[in-house]
Amino acid sequence: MSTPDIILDHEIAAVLKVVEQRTIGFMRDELGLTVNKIDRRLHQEESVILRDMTAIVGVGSRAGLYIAYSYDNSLIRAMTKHYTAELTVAAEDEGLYMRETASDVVNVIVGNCTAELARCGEVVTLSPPVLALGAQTIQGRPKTAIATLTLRFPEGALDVAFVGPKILFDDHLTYVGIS
Amino acid sequence: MTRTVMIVDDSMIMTQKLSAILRDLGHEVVRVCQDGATALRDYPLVKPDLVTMDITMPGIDGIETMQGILATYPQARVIMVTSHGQEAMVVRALEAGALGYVLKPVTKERLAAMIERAMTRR
Repeated sequence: MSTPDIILDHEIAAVLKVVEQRTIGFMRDELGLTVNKIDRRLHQEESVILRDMTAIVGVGSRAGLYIAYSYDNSLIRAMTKHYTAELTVAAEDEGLYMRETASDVVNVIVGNCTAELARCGEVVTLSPPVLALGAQTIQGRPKTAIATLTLRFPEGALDVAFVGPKILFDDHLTYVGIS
Repeated sequence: MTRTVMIVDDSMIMTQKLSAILRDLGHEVVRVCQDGATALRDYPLVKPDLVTMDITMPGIDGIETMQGILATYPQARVIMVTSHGQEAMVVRALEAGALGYVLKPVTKERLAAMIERAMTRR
């Protein structure tokens, strides 16, 4: 393995740890959802299968990284119920609010993590979230690293995929890695 | 004291939550903008007492939007309401003219305190 790959793996592992802790805390404190099982797969996953609803953000740092939150339908439904508890949501708008919740949650969690992701005063930029609908597969390429974190809740599972560097997506966060 | 407030945030749910909190606090939401370009266009139409500004938005980001407003209306009062927790981003926003910084998820207490602080500055 070349030196840059080793650095990247190390970086992704560090990012995963920060994001895992903040995600668990947010789900518990803001949405009342408690994780009951955690799976981490740190070592160069070859591919990641995304669930039906996935929100992706680009994190600008030295290496560059995409973080994708891929939700079980039952989980995002439960999250939306809690996240919009004080709002009036018409039945016909439930799908819209689920999509908005999926994006908001990744934006808030990863945004909160930037404090710890920033190094030596460097500003870590964050892209607006982009939503991918429908199951698809992120397939790794030789110079990419993919790590995944799965958080299981009684309401369903959340996969968090860490993909770096940013060569599997174009500038609009559209996945271009399907061969 | 009732303030007029313009909310700038690309998240529909966040604008609804902020609107509810602001109304609860006795303030009047006079405009909601979901991107920076709209905020730049609408600010002079409503001239609010205060703007709450997200940072990460498609197109013009919140800091650039604030700078655009302040360039023409230096008396404008803007606080950032954002998920960005890093110190360097806070410093950048304050140096660019923000009067305060509230981290999402927003609580009524934190927003109320920041609004009052922002209204007494300058």
